[in-house]
Amino acid sequence: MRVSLEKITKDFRKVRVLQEINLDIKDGEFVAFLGPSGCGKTTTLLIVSGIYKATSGLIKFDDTIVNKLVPKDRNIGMVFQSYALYSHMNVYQNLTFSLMLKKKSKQEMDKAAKETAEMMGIGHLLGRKVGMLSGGQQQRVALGRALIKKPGLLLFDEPLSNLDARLRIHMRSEIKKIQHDLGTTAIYVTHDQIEAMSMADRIAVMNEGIMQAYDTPSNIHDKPRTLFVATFVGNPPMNILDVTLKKENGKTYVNLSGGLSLEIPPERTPEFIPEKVKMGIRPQDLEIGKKEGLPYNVFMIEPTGRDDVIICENKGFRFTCLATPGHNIKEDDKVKLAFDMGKVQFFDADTEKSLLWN
Amino acid sequence: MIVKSKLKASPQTIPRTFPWGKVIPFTILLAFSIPLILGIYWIVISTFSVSTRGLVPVDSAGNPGGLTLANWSFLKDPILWKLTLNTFILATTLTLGVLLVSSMAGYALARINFKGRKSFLGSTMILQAFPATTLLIATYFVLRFISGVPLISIFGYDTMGGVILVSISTQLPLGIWLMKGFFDAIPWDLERAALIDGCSRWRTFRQILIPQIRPGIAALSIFSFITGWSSFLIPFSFMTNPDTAVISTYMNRLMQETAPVNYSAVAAVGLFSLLPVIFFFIFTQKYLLAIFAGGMKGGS
Repeated sequence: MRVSLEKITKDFRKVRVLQEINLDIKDGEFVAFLGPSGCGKTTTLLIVSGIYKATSGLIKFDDTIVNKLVPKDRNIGMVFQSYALYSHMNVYQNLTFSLMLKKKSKQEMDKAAKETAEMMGIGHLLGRKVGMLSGGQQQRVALGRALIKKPGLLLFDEPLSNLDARLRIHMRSEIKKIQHDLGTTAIYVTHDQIEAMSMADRIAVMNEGIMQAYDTPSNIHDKPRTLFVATFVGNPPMNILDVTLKKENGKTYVNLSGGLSLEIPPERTPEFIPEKVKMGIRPQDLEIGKKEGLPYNVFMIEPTGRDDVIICENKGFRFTCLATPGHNIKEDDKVKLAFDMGKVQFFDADTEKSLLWN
Repeated sequence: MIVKSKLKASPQTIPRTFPWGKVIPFTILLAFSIPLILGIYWIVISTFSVSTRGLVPVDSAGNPGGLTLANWSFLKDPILWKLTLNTFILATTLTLGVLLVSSMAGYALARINFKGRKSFLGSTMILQAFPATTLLIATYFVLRFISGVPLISIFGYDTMGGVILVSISTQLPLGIWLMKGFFDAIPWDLERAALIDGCSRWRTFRQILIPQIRPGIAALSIFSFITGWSSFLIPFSFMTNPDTAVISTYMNRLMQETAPVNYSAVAAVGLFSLLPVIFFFIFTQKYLLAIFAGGMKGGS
């Protein structure tokens, strides 16, 4: 099922929480809505599901306008963060509740419940009350309940947030595999960028009710269209600093505070240079050495296992960098930072839009 | 054998200090409970004696002894059983009415954002704060008015319907607030899931939400039943016909007879009317606590 949102807005009382959201989702595509709490991603999802009504704009499933359809007529399945299982029913009843409401026969319900439960690996639990299941099992029941009616669209509202870290990673790949095998279109709301990056075909980054970017995970990461996307996506976050750009003899230089100026390669040179510019550089594009580069103090070292996050400081400004463990760097060391100028980003400081990608 | 000796080899060596943390609260509770316990003791004793002096049963000459079953002779009186039935009807209809109205009103107040929602909640709170006595005269006029209207005159003055109506309305503030609290504790997602699964709003309410708030429903029904069973002021004020009287008003009549009051007989009727309540309470106190604990978290 294709889904398209055209100029969707939503007001709560007099506050506008969604501003003209436009979105096209292809059949079978897995799209993640990524953003901080309160950015409007769950609101958008609930509008797609029909629980909320959009204040204005059109929602189309394939070519049908569904604005006025109630949730049950939209052929959707939804998985909630709190699982929202019917705690007074057992697993079988939870799974088949929607079929029962459609007055399906007992045989059909048994068959569907068996198939779904097998797929979710909960076949042996059908007779249990859901309160007696572990978090992971409840999650599977919730997923099974969404899948059993063979929906045209699957909606996920932060479904993994309540699981422990290991189970979350496991369920991540499992959900993606099931979605891929069934070929069902899916929308997945999350504030966890790793979930979004690893699962989605395309990511819609949202902030304060505005869609900031809608692109593939690698483009979101490598070609951020706004300052928000640049700082929100990527871990550790991108370093942002105020700079001035200067053209000289056909070459463009960036002036950093401290009087240092670095040449920008042509593919990273903005066409238009506004007055105030912010430069962004990811921690992995900074190299820590002792010989050449900008002088910094090592302020703090945070081991994460695969990399050590090293925070360097000079005159109150801090850079986050990465180093492979075994690097010999200690706190309060004097180091020099080398910039990979082929990977830098530039943003207009006033509009916060990228000067490189549009 | 080996296992046994191993167990014996590990004696408890925790030093025992005097448990002040338990003794002090129990002492205070006991001090407050003694008058109540003595009162109940007196009721039980006096129903089986001709008369009492203090807590000691005495016969008509004033000597200790004089145990008798005469006070319970009212059990043979058919009018008492009619009154018991009346009381039961009052208590159950009251309970059903309160449950029906307050569960639906509580849901609406918890979930739907309509105009005047806050002021409605506030005004029910104010109603709860009024002692029923202050409203008696106004209620009397309302009931007199209803008596004159055809079709609904069964809810008028001097009818069981009228008493039930008034009793329900005095219970509603508590019921509505309690139900609202329970509905508030149910996550929105549960309703959303049901709507997506294909429930109508009414079916969601009945099949998904009501089972979630079962502890609240149990608490409210017990509370309402006990209130209805022991209510006195409203039946006394609005039902003058002895045929429709309830046990509490009957007891009142016993004490107002011109002949010297036989307190032992009054106590016997009182104890009789208490029995269902005590019985009920013993088995349901767990749920009743939910009211005073401010609503348990919904769930199984």
